[in-house]
Amino acid sequence: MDISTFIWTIFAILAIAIAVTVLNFLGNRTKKDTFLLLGLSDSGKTSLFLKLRYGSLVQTHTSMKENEGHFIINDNGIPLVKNPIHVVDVPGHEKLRFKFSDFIPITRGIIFVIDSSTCAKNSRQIAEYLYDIFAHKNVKNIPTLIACNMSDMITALPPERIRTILENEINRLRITRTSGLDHQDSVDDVEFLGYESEDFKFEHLENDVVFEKCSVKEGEINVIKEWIVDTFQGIK
Amino acid sequence: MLDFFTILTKGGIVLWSKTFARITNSPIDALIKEVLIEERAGANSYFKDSYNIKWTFANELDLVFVVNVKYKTYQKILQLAYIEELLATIKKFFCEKFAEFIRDTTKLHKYTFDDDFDSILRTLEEKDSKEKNKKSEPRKFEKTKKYQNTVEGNKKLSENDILKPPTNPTISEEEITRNIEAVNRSRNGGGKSIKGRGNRSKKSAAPNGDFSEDKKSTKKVMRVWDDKLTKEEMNSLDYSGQNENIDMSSAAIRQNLVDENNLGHRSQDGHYEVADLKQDEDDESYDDDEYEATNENVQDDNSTKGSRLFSFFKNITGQREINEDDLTLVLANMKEHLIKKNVAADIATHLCDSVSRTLVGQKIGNFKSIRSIVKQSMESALRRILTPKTSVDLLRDILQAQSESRPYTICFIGVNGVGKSTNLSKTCFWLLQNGFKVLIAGCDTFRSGAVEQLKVHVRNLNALGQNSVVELYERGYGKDAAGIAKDAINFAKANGFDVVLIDTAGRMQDNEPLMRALAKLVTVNNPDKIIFVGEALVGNEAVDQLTKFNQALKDFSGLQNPRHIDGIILTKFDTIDDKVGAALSMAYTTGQPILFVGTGQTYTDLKNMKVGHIVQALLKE
Repeated sequence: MDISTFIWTIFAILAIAIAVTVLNFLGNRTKKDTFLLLGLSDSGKTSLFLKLRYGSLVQTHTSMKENEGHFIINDNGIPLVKNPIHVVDVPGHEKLRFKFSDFIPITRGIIFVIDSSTCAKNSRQIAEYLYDIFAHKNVKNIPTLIACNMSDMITALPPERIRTILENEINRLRITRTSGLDHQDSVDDVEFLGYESEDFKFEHLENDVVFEKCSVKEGEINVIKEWIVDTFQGIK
Repeated sequence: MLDFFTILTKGGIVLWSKTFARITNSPIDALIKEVLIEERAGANSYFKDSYNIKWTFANELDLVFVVNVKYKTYQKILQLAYIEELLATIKKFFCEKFAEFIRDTTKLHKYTFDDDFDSILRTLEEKDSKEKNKKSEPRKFEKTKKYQNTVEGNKKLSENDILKPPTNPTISEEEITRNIEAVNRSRNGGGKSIKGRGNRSKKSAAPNGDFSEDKKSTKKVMRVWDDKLTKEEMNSLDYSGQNENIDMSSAAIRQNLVDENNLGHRSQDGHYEVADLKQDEDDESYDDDEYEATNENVQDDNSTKGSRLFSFFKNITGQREINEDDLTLVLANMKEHLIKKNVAADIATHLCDSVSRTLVGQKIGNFKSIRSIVKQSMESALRRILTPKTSVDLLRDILQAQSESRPYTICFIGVNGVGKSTNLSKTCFWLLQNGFKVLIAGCDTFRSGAVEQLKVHVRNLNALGQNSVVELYERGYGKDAAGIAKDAINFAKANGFDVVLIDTAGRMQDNEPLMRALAKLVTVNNPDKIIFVGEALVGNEAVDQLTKFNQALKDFSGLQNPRHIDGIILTKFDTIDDKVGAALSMAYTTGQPILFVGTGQTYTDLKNMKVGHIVQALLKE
């Protein structure tokens, strides 16, 4: 009698312990359903975020903090996927950019927003940010959409042109970055982009990089929505 | 006049805004980029073009309220005295009215706030103009200084002073609630009458304002001769009648000043032995306990046991909001900690103020102590300050200059003996490794041996590399440095050098003739980068050096857009262990990046600074 109660107690305790571990394991499993909106300041990330989420726009200023939300991507109220996705709009200010790396472990896809009307002028800043993203050790294999925003402007460049500008710029950066000085505690967690002997091309990356033109202001963001839906369902 | 009032989230989404005049150059973006992100929010207002911007945070809802007043360039004093009050009132009103809207993010809400805003503004304007009218009345004799000098007045006044509670210069909670009540009342009482009143008050407010303010500033303070004491002062200095107080508090003093636990003990033969220093392994938890204890003491004064239990539960479930009292002690500790890490005192203070501003009102998460929240917030603030806002890729800049077929010029400046020449040669070594042709311009024409020192460096560098090209351009001592630099750049252009490194004489920041000479050198040659070389050993001095060097470059240049320091090399970094405060002080003072740190005696001891490393060192206990 005594012994059987004892055994039962042990059983119960074990069962509870196992249940807790299993639940913990399930809870901690990283669900990769996050899409990051990255890009320079004033390229239209927050506007894109609002447009994706609410379908409408309000005035925005420089972000100090990331905007994030779980929501279902829809096209005029018709949902395109069943499950809500997690979208994070990371501030583009140089001093706040580092936050993107916190989200990388749960990221399904990156949307890099470019202001195509000022792209030629800012090519170096854009390329440096892109370089930092792609050279990050955990960004391999994360598909990336480069959204050339503000295509409605007269001065806007076509995506193909932007692509070559950025490839040239990254090619140059690759030389200067790799020959820069060591960091203090020489633990480099930066990857080399592309192939050593060839000029840099986006195809050389392990990531799947797509260039699309869009205009948040004019509401031409269907390409972005489709890309998100495809990426979200593709790997699932 | 008021130009605009905007309410936006920290994410940058505008919830509500009202503009009274056309806005140019988007001053809000400038405010966010230059002040709020750079952790300079400890300041009160921000001047941009012709705007004077004031702001306040509502951290519980992650909102920022920004108001802007146009000012004339020659008077930076805020003309409208009620602006602070307006901000506080609007903040409270808006947060109460729309709290649910803001928390609910499922859809974009429409914030209909125009009417409320108008009536709040009107009420405040009215109140303001009333006060101004009151002020402009002739003073009664009882209120004058003369009356105070009479014996009678003296007596009465001192009584009044005791009875009257000290007036608080900051806007009190009550006042804000009163304002809101007034607004509500006036709104219920029909709009028409208010409109009439409002218009009138607006007109009368402006001219009156200037007068009263002038009057206030010209008031004289009566001189007090040293050897005469008023009755009041005599009384306050007379301690003879307060014996009973002292007797009572001696026990308390003992309790406060002597910690019984840490008291040493008397050995048998009567020697007093000081207690051993305990190894504080659980330093953090100990501090937390101490903090909790003091916190409870504060609460003990005006709360019963029941509410303490309640607050304990609130603490656990994360319902408590952080208020300023909670932060004061933790931030004071944090400030001291930063100063111990060799951060300049002013900067530690600014930083703590700024962190406190972003924390007041936030909810405390589950099982989190205020200390850990402050630490977390401080960490991200430090990270933000130390992260460069412009590209620090020198090689890319040099390639750019190369493609324009001109030499890239870097000028090294700093006080005496910080290692300008040494780090110049280290930089030179790195550039040579990357295959650039380098010319060193010896513009230290003052200190004997400076040119010879560079000669030795050039000889060494030439010997080190197989086919590296480095030359020294020097014209001896006692010549004009600016002229030599100019010649050197021309020489480099003619002979196809890629980089010119200009070595200048060290100078103290207070030496005006030398600072003028430096400004001249910079103006004449317009180098691509001006690098300030500072040693990591300095503490408070770092701020002074950098501000004065920057100021000199600005004041003595005679240009419309003067140059400033573009980057910093922090030398002698291997000597300071974890007291890395100078890095923070310098980055914060200039807002410019620390390009390299010098970590030793050889040519290879020049490293890129790692932000994470510095932040960790700063926060390490």
